[in-house]
Amino acid sequence: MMRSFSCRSLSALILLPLLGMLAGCQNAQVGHPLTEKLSGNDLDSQLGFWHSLAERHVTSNDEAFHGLLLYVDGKDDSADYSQRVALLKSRGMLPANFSGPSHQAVDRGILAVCIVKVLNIKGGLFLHLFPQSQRYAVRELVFDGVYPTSSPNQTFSGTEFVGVVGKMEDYQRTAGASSPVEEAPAISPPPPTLVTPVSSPKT
Amino acid sequence: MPHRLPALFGYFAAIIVGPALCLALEAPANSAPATGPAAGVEQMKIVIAEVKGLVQVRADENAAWQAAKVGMELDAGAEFRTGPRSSVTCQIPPDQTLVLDRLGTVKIAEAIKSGNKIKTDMIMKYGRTSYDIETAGAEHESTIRSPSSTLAVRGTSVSLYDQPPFTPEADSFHGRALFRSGQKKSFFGGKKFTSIQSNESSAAQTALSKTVVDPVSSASLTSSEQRYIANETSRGAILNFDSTANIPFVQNGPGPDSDSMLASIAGPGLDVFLRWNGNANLNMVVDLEAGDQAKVLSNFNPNEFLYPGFNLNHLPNGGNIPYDDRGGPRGGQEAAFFPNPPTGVYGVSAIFVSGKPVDLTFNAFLNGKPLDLLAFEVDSAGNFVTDASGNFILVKNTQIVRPTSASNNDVSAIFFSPANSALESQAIPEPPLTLDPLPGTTSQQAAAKPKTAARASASARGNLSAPARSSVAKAPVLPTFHASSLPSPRGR
Repeated sequence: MMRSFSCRSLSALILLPLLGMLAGCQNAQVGHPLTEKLSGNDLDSQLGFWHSLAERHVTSNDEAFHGLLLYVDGKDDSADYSQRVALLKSRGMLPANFSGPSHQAVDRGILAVCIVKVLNIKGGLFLHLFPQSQRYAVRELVFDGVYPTSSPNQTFSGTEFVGVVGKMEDYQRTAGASSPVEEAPAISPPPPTLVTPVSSPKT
Repeated sequence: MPHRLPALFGYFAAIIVGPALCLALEAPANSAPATGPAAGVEQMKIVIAEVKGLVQVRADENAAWQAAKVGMELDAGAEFRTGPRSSVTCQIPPDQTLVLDRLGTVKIAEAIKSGNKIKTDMIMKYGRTSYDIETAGAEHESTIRSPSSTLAVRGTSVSLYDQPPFTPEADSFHGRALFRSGQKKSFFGGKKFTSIQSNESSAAQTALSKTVVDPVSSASLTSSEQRYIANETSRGAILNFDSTANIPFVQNGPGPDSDSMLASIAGPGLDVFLRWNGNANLNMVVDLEAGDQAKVLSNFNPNEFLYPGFNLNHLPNGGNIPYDDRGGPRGGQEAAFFPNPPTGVYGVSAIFVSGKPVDLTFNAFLNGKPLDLLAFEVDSAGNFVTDASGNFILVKNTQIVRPTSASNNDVSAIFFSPANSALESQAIPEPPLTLDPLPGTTSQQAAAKPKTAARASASARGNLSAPARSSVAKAPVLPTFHASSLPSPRGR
């Protein structure tokens, strides 16, 4: 009996922290996205949205997608979150299998895929091969200075998201003004074949 | 819409220009202008000169926002905010112009004139604000405040950008300015456009960092590597990218760093350097076997290696060669960095790719301190020297200098990281050698140095014909590389 009690309590000791960790692994949630009250296209609603968002701790999926549509089209005629997602999917800005809830904190990776599409960034080899890849979209935006150093699983605060949209505009203003890489040089010689070391030969 | 006094105002630091005086570091909690001007003080008007896109203005923090229109006149305390692809230009007659760029907010807290002195105080929560003073006779005392940096306008045309999560940046289009961020302050600007970021110590450092474009990813480099690449570029090297070898490369650089400069570049972790002094292209190979150094040394079989290119310049343990130096008339320099070097035995070798015979050096530093490298003694022609028993003679030095050429393409050394004095004691100390930094040094002249070293080693042993020290039970095995099958490169 003592042994089984000990096993049970030991199991509980192991499982409880694990359950706690799993609960803590959920994405952050936004209680009341700004789109509930500031989703209109009039001047008050648009500026109220942007500058209220700048004071928020976390940006939700709904807020991020609404902001993107405001930036791209100057308006957002979607009635709700599902319409925004459908619109972004139809434009290829969101993967077809995206199903994130509206209140969930936006992933930098998902947003990067959208932004790469908006800015028409072709990127390198892997972004060409995998245009919906969050990892390579993030890396490309970091290289272009649109994103800070990021991982796809991070989120944005409100002011950070506003800053990124500002950088998007800066990028479009200066796109094509300078090229980071000069012409390809002559082909470098391939590496020589190497062996594991041998003992020093005696003469 | 909920209204809150922005908490950020409490953290602003003030900067003043004109006579460059710094005000109190913390802004008052309530930055609204005093009611009624003091005697002799004239409140200046703010006139909206241009509106683009979505712009709103309010008279003070208690008023309602309204659409900004050209020609509107406002008093101090007015606040502006813009949307995407929008901007607003305001004038404070007779000679001040303020432009708030996209997605920003700025408040003109104070705009007064007292006699011949004009005082303007602007507070920007985030965004980009440009401020311009036309050259005039009046003395200006202008302040631009933002949450994490301050800009003191000494000149006539400046811009301040402060938007999380990006680095604050100040630009001076004309005239001097004082930029303060944290405890650092820097004067910059003049007759030409100058820019400074808060993470750089000066406008020159900002300009240097902006001239270097790392096509791989600067985020993957340590600070010492970034600084190293920037230094090479600043000294005139041309940085390109070889898409076939998949590595940045430098050519026609200024030549190798001096010994003292090399020591200053070395930083945390393990740094390995190859330098050469003539018109040649050498490629450095660094390999290692991690583990107990004595055990490894008994059968040194490197299982990880670095080569400049073809995806062989990165290791899972963080070791990397950031670029391939393809030389030039003044020589070249390559480096390998290990931020977290594993304990073990390391080998370094130089592959002679093309060019003229040159001298090369190997150096290794662990956390900035030089390590002893072990190599076989050579004569003036670069041939291994043997003792009477026919054994090669192992020497050690913190800087190995050897000649290399197309026909003498077998130069290598090993070292221990961390240093292992017990194992290193089996080698004979070599006198300090220096790579001749002068370009065009002939191979014959440079070869005199290894010859000198050989003689010194011989005198240290007493007699070339004397047998090797019998205390060396097992002579260290020095890796010698020959053309043969390539071990499977480690994937990333």
